[in-house]
Amino acid sequence: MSLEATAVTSGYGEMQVLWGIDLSVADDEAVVLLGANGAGKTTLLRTVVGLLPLRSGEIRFLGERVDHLRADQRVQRGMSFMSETGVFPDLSIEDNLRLGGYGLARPVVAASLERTWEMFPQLRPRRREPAGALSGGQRKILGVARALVREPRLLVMDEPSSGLSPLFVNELVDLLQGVRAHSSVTLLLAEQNVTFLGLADRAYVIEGGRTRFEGTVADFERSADIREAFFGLSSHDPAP
Amino acid sequence: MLFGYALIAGVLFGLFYAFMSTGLNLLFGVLRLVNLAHGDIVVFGAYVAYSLSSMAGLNPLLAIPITIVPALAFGVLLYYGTVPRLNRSQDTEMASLILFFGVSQVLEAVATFAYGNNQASLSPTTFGGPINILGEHVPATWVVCGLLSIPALVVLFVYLYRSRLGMATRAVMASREEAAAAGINTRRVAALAFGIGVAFAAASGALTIFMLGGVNPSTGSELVLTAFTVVVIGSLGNPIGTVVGGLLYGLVFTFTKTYSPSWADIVPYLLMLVVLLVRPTGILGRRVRSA
Repeated sequence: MSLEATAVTSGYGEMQVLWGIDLSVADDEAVVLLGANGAGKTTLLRTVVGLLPLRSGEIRFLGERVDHLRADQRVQRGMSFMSETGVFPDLSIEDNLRLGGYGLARPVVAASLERTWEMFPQLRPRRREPAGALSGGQRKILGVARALVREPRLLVMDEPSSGLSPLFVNELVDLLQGVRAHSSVTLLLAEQNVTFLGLADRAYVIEGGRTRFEGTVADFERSADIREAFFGLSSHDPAP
Repeated sequence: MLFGYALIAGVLFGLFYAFMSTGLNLLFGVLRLVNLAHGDIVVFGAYVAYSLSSMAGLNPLLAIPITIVPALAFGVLLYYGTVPRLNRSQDTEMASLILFFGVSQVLEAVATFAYGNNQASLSPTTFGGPINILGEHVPATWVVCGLLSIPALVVLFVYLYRSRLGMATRAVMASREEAAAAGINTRRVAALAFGIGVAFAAASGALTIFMLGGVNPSTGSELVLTAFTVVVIGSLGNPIGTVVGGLLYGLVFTFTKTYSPSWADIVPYLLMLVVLLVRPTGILGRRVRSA
């Protein structure tokens, strides 16, 4: 099991957001967390990667408890997190990628950078420009590239589609499909956009900090009430 | 030639102001805290230079290598002793202002104990008589101190832009959370930045005693204002902005001092106000494309 979170509660200050969520992601699996704004998706991801303290419950990564570890320690153990922003806008594209490999040996980072330039040739000529000069779609691509520099075992992404046009969303989904085909990275992403179900094996629907649905993508498509209640998709719509 | 003199003095003072202020900006950039004790740390360095020269008969500039390591250690300890606690308080900004004001008062009191309230100064001919630059006779102390600021700033830039820890420091400045998610131990990086900021402040003290003509225990409160002005003019949180802000401050200061001396203590602050009104992010403040 790549990730196993049990009875997770978490929140900000006085406000509790998560009320005992169980979440598991198997090795090489892709899991999508769906839910409306404010459902607790981001809070769950931030708790998983260690940016928010866990209040109760436990989080295991690759079989070991990690909930006492800081975010940077979890990252060094093989988690990679791509936030909604995904990049450091003020820093150059190259610095962004180098930061993706922070803590790795220099030759490893150099080799990884070389691979990244091959994979995303459009970034190379602009390597000295600040990441903030890229368009929204290109920034997401840089964010994915940055998250992959350290060849993580688990890639956690928060709303990769936010701010993107539908065309770019499809491009991003294709990119992630490609990444999965070429490496054995496990994916956990939070989304409002059901397009991402196309690359997922299983889905969770989160509402009010609790799990409302959990199952395979096929199960999700069969459960008409969930589809309708959360995504306004009637049973006559084609499967997302 | 008043103009040439003001220009040369302005650049020399500007370089010094940039060096003297840069620690404050580094600290703000990384921690979003204003170190109100910054000026007192500068004055501490100035007193070390004063003691070396007047009591031991040594070169006062030896204060720079002598203070760096203890100041760095003091900064790191001050960080671990205060900042994690501050972060747990309800209102971190306010609590930190009050706390560093307290540190400032303590340092000022210690300086008064040790040196009294009188002005401590060193001979303006410590480095020889006036130096002829393009026909202008400029005090040697200004030339030495202005030029010494250049390697100090270069060292900081090499650290920030050519080393891995420096890159991590810039990442923490940009977004602490994003930096943690990139695998950076943000607390360690911040502690080191705090130490470096304090070390730079202390090191610049040896120059301050010459550039200001002397220091006394309350000089620190004036210096933190000057440093804050320099940093705001350039751009809060942007290290290169400090150099721009320092040079502008230095030039504006020496030109008003030359042409209308009674305004010299006001005009640099007016400049800060104008910058804040016209370009609140500072001259080098960058706006990020939001699409």
